[in-house]
Amino acid sequence: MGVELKAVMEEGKTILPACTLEGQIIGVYTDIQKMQLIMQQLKQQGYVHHVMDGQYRRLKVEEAFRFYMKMAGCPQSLEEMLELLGLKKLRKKKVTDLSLSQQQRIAFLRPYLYGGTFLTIEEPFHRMDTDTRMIIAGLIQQLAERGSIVLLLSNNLEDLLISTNDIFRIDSSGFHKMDFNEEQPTITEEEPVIKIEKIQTKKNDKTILFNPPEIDYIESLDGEILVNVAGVSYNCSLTLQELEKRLRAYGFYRCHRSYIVNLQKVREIITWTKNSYSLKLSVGEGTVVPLSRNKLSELKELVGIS
Amino acid sequence: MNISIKRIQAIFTKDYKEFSRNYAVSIMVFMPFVLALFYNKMGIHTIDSYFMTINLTLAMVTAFVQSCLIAEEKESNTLRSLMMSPASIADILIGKSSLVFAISAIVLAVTIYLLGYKPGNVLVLALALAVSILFYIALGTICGLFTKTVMEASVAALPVMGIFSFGPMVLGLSEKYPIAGIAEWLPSSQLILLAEGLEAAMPAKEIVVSFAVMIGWTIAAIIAASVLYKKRMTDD
Repeated sequence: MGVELKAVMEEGKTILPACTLEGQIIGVYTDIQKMQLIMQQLKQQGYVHHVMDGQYRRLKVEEAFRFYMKMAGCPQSLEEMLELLGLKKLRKKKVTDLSLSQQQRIAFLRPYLYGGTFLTIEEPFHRMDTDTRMIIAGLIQQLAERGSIVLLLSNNLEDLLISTNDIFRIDSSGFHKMDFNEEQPTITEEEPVIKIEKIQTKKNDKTILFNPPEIDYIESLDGEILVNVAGVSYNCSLTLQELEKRLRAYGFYRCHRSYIVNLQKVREIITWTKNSYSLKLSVGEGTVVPLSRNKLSELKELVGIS
Repeated sequence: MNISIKRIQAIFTKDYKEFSRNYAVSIMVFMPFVLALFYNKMGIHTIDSYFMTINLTLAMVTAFVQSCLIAEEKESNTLRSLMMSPASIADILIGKSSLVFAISAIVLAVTIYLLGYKPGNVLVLALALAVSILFYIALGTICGLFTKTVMEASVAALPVMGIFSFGPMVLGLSEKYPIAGIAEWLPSSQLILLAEGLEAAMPAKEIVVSFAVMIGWTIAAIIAASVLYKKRMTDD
């Protein structure tokens, strides 16, 4: 598998998705194995921050800050940096006496100070308290504003979403952008409404319930309503009007005075003559449902064809 | 290769702080003093006994501390980020080595004083010791790069001590076994020959030969250390 991935990455010379710009934060949602490979390949291109990288534990906090700042030739003052990472009160403590989250803040000085135009960060928010997450998210934002391309690697999607919406998943054929609906968060905030629609039918004195997507079409024949599922028809006590109302949300359409069709199963619009149309369904062989002339344009609009 | 004094300073300061607070390593600095006092009180005042202590100091302090400084970076998982930092290889190695050089120089000076050794020519001896320190620093670097923890590094320093500190003793066997004569070309043996020469007004030519041998060893060790360091950098 590793070999496959490598081939993909070599093809493009760089493994970055094509659309990377200066100052962009890119999330890559992937597993640990691929993460290692990506970091291995990217270390030539810029600073790579490993989540396992350690600390100089015997240094005091301010000594560690001074060391990293001197190494990078950082123009900011020690006070500013301590403030930025929220460690001002702990400056005289030894690194080893800090909490794990606070130690991670100090570790983040390295990508923050050493990072050039491109840097890679493994698991940016791995096992951190909320304060630290906020600080690190702020620093990543600053890096991007400075014009660096920041690549975040994680196998936790929620972590990546803290910093960016440009998230890619990766497989053997390369990078794929992941879609996030804007509404998605609002939906999850609301009380979830569970609504189950079952269509009740009868066959040989047995009551059978169908999920709407199972139904191919419904017809009205001699005053009886027949629900067609996989080539078999079942009696239903509801009227076509009631059914139409209940099933509209499931992609059903009243294509004819006495027919309701499941649009998801329509394969072909057959034009018999100028005024006569039928819908051919993808189920069975040659299951055809009539389509009224005056309904054609509405249907075309509904399914978005011309 | 660009060298930045600021970065070297930063590494020097950081390593000094870490070293002085790591008692398991820094305690070694006091061992030569104990040994020197011991010899002095016993009233042994021969060039051989002086240099027994000095060569032991070079292995126990110089090579050991240097290997521990590098192994510690590996043990605490900081070497990778240090290698990826803006500091060049030269910055990192010079920063660490200059700290070890300073420590070694001070320890050697105090040891020589405690031994009661008064060399015939202080300047030439100081120069010879400086070259020796560089050689042992390079050896320590190699030991540090081959090991993963401070624990392993302290074990790796043992063969250095065995070969280079005790090597000159083998010379005593050279009459019986001519092969032992090779030990004469060890830098530690050359250091002793040089010191003996300083007492007896040895011809300048032989001093130059001794220096040449020591410098040769030093350059070889420094090259080996930097090649190894570069290799490690691309490995992980």
